[in-house]
Order: sequence, then C-alpha cells, then structure tokens
Amino acid sequence: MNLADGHIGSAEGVILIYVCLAAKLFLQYPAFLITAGGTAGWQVALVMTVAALILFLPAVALAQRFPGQGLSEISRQVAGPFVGTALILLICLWVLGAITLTLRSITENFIIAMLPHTPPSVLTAAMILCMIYASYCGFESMARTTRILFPVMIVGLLVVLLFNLPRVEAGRLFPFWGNGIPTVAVSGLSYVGMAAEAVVLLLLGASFRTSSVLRTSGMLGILLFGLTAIAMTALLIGVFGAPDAAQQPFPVFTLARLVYVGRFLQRTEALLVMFWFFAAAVHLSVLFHATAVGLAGSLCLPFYRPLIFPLAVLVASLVLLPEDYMVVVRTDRDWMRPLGIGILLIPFLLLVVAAIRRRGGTADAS
Amino acid sequence: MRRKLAANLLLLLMLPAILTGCWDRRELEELAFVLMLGVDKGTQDRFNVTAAIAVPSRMAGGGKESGGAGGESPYLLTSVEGPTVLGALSLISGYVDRQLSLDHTMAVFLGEELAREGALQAMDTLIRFRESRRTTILVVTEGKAAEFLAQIKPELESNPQRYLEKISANYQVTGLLPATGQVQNFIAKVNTKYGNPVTFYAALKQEQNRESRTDRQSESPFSVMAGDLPRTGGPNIEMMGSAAFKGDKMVGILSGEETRLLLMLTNWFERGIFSVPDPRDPELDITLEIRKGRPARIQVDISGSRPRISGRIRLEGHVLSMPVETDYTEPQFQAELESEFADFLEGEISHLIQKTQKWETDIFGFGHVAARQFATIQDWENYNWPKHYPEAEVDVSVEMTIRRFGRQLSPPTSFREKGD
Repeated sequence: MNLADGHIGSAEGVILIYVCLAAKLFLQYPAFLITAGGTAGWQVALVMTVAALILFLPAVALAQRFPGQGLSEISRQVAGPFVGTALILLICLWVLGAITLTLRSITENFIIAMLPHTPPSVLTAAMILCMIYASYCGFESMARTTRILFPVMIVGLLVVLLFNLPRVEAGRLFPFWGNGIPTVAVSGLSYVGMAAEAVVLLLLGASFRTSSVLRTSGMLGILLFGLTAIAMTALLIGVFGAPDAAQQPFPVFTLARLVYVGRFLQRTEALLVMFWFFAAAVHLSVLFHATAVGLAGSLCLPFYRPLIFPLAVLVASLVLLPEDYMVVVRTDRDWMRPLGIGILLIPFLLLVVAAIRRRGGTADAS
Repeated sequence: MRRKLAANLLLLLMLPAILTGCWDRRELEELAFVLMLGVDKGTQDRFNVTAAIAVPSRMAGGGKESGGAGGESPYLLTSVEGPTVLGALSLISGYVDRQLSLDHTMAVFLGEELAREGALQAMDTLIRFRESRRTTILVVTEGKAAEFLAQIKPELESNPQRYLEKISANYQVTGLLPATGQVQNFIAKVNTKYGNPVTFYAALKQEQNRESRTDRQSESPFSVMAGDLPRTGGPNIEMMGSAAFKGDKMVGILSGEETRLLLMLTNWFERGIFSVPDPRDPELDITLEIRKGRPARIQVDISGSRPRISGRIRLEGHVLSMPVETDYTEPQFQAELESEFADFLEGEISHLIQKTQKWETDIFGFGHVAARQFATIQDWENYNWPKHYPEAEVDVSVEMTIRRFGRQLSPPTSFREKGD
C-alpha cells in the first residue's frame, strides 16, 4: 500500500480527529487543566481550544497551497531536502514520544484501576498489535471503523456524564476566575500542545479527498474536542471540586464509578472501559500510522508498510523506559505538551517560507 | 486468497492469547465479598477493622430463616487489628480461605471515637484502593462499629446490604437522614473550603429509654437522634440524624429534626411528616406532610466586618391529621397555622445554625455562595471563610403555604361542637 492509498471524506475525518484528540480526556489531561486553572479549569480548556484553532489555521492554508500532498512532500518542496526532512523527522519524533507516553499512561491506568496483576508488557503488546494491524489495514479502514463505532462510544460517554449531573454543585465552579486571569491565559496557551496531535492530519494530507475536507476535519475536530474538554472539565469540578479532581489521574473513570441509579444502573465503568480501550486504540493507531507515513515520505520511500514493524519495536522499547507512572505524568505535562506548541508552529513556518520562496499554488487542485 | 484466509484464522486463534484475563482472573468461589466494613480505634494497633463477609449459601432464598434474627447470620463477622485498614484486612487471610474483595462493600461504619479523632486516615483506603467505590455510604456509630455490625439483623430483608440501601434512601420520604452520606460527598467536602461534610449517624437500640441527648427540648417528636428513639420491638439498630464534621473530625450530632432543616437549607429536602402543636390549643397536635415549594435561596453578604447570611425557604404543606377544635380550613385560621409553623421552623433553623457556628463548621455549604463574590481562589483563601463563618449574622425566613387538607373539608363535627 502506498502513501496516498485510501481516501476519506469530511465526516470520517472529523470523527477520526475528534476521537483521536478526545481519547486523551480519559487520561490525566483534565487533571492538568484543573491543576492549572483551579475552579476555572474549564476556562483553561477554552483558551486552549481557541489557541489551537488559531494555530491550526496555517496548517489549513498550507494544505490548500499544496493540495493532495502530505506534509513530507510539502516540507521537502518548501524547505529543501535537508531542512525539510529534518522538520518532518522532528514532527515524527514528537508524535512517537506522544505515542509512547500515552501508551504507557493507558497501561498504567489499566493496572491501577482494573488489571493490577497483568504484566505491563502484555497490555502494551496487546495495544501495539492493534496499532500494527490498524496501520497495516490503512487510514481509510481506521476512519470507517471509527465512524461505525462512534455513535456507541458517544452514547456510552453521555450516560456517564448525564447520570452524574445530579451530583454537580454549581458553587464548586467559583471563584469564577480560579487561579486568576493571567494564570488561566498562560496555562491555556501552554496546553495548546494537547491538540498538537492534529498535525497528523497534515502528515496524512494525501489521504483526504480535497484540501477543504482536511480543513473541515481539522477545524471541526479540534472544535468538538475543545467543547468536550470544556464540558468535561466543568463537570468534573462540579462533581469533585477542583482540589479533588486535580488529584485524580483518570477522573472520568472515577465519574463512571459514581453512576448509581438505585439497583437499576450502576457499575457503568465496565461499559466505559470498552469505549475507552477503543478510543485509545484509535488514538494510538492514527498517530502510529501517521508516523510511519511521515517517515516513509521524508525518506522518499514509496511504501510505508516496511516501516511498521521497526516502528512498533521502537515503541515497545521506549514505552518501558519511564521508571514509574509519575515520571510519565511529569514528562508529559512539563515536556511533551509545551513542545507540542512548537510542532503546531512548524506548518506556520513552512507557510511563511513557501510564501517567500513562492512555492505551491493557492488554488485547490481538486 | 487462501493465504489471506489462513492468516486471518491464525490471527483469530492468537487473540485469546492476548486476552489479559489470565493474570487477573478471579473466580467467584475463590472470593469473599466484604459487604460492610467497620473501623474502630484499635487497642494494640491503630485500627480495629471489622469485616462482614457474605456467606452466599445463607443469603440465598431469603426469609427470616436464612438471614433474620432467629436464623443463621448471612455473613461472617470478624475483627482484626492493624496499622491501616487494608493492612488489617490482609491479616484475615490467615484464617479465611477465600480472597477478600471490597468490590461489593456497601457501607463503612466508623466508631464515634475514631471519627472524632479524624476519619481521613481510615478513609484514604476508600478513595485510593481500586476495589472500593465512592458510592459506599459512610456511617458513624455511637460506640464501637464492631458492636453495631454484630447487631445488624434486618427483619424484613434477608440481605443486610439491601436493608442498608433502603434505610439510607429514606431521607427522600422522611428527611430524617442526610442526603449526602456517601464517601464521595465526604471527600469532596473535606478537600474544599466551601463547607464541611455530614454523614449518617447510627446507634444501637437502648434497652431502657435514656435521657435525650439533644441540647434543647424541642416541641417536635423528631428531635431525637439514633439511640434515643422511644420504641419497643424491631431491629436492634437505629439510623437517624447525622454526624457533623469539621474537616475530617466529627464535632457533633444532629437530631432527625435538625437533619431535615439541613436538607431544607441545602435543597435536598423532598418531603417529610411534621407534628406541630395546635396554635390555639397547644395540648393538641396537627400533622402535616411538608414538601419543598421552591428551591431555597441563600445569599451571603461579605461587605461588612461580619458576613451576613440570609435565606428564604418556601414550603408547601398537606394536612394529614387535624383532630382539633379550630377549623383551620377557614382562611383566617389557615394563615395563622401557616404563620405559626413558619415561625416554629425559623426558630429551629436559627438554633441549628448557631449550634454549627459554635462547632465552627459550615455544614450547609454557605461557603459555596460566599465564594461567588471572589474573583480568584487566592482572594477566597485570603478571606478565610472557616474563620468568618462562626461570627456570621444569620437571618432565614420560612414561607409556608398549606395546599390541601386531606379527605375532609373541616374538622369532625364532634370536635367543633366541643369548641362551641
């Protein structure tokens, strides 16, 4: 299968990027937002969303300037074979780091909450097998499978959120500005990296039918992710209070364990875990596939499949490197997410250089 | 094609190998489910932990034979001492063959002595350990939790868990129990500075009626707390009123009546039966079912040196019993009855708030309302609500409207003739 095989439309694109980004909300990310903003954690999510949408605009403009091409080709055309390849390798390295930390977080969360005696390597291997299989099948298969299962996942999530509404105390969302407007604004900008995975859309740019499909997928996907993050953060603060919510590594799972409608509906976390696993698999598979495609493009390889196995071995080795879960949390919060801003700025940089060097056209070829 | 099919089949056969149940497989017959947990202060170690472990064969079938006072207990009760709750529970494996599981623990009972010294050390297990759930109810028992657990012998239910589930949900129909008695409510309140938690309060039935422990002789028959109910017969345990905390330390007990007022002020009150003296003849009583009319409105003014808390509670009443001479269905008398009842509640509420101010604990969560007036968390923390609450001026008004008078339009004729 070559780099451009398989094409997806707007609906698949939006759903895929939304699931890919929102899957992280099951992990420690809501706790990051609440730690930063306190009672105004939802405002941090709001600032993050607006900033991410603005930062993604250059990526959209770049895709429209080079319709039907992936970021690897664009980068080589714009910045030359050395710098262009180096920029793509930088993005791939960051995405690989994001895969590693997310995979380790998911593994640790499964061990802490559900499967305490299962060796981490087994959980990791199971997830990596999913990633390999999904990437082998290709981007289109991933997108269509996600679209089919999306309604079930949304219903599962809504059950958890809606049945916890009676536990919400609106007073817990005050003081309104939380840790203060400057802190909320700075934190919101520093967590823009939470949406940095959207850059994979550009790596897989050749798989979108037109550049406008890529634009709709990216912008709407980020917007829906942001709205979900805002709603979920506000709900978590309303139910647990900011100090308690900030202490939880996977508050949405705790929320699922709180659903208690008499004897009729309880223990919904069993349901949530299935959707959580699926969303995590989508997230990791998309990132993994994008890394393989990006690397293949930057190395001028016509096919990405030969890279799947070596990449999987690399991920399997890296994922066991952090000594403990707290190292994972700290590395993700203090390094990966701030670096994500840089990753989102690379398309902007390429757009400026392309404009200066008059590379690419402005019209959509399709 | 054949190769693809073979590859898919091989993949399918490999799938069971990656199913992770192998390491965390737990067979039902290997597990001992702890239904209830009691934690007391230990004598040799920090905690004395009592576990009520389900005996499935005795729970099946139901009826008094299997689980009632006369039959075999549906659970095995055992106590063990240890430095932590889970540390103590792990010692049970020395004499119980099955592996203990907290997956189905419905209630945690804390001895009053331990609760007054601080509950958080024991509670940490309940929020951190993967098996425990935050929906577990938290009950403070007068005396030892171990002794209380030994006396839980429901008469109408064979399953003690179901008994606890139903009795704890009784706040919806009586208002005599707290609505926020789960571990989740406790932890959320302890972690924030907006207010303090309350939990269920329970006690053993006293052999002889003892003197009421309430600090005030109220006119209401519901001004009693668990352990003081004037009764004979029935189960040996009582759950009524609530335990009030300051942070994680218990500081006092609220009677059933006071718990109702707490529910009214926190908007959890749904309905309850009240007996009030006849305003024109205090020797006689009128029974009303009171329901929430509108949500209570609380305002906190922090502009002065002392915060000023004002509240407005609107209730609706249905007369259930009115064996009196005055015909309160007449508009002028109805207004008198409504006003009398509202005054009675205002007095009770004022007294309850003063009591919590003496305890320096805002169990009503007035802090939630006060926090709205601060822009940032730093400003709110600098104000120090826990320090200001005890000196707050409080003014709560109650409005009461009687909507219905039951299936009689006026008192029985004989009563009215007696009045003439």
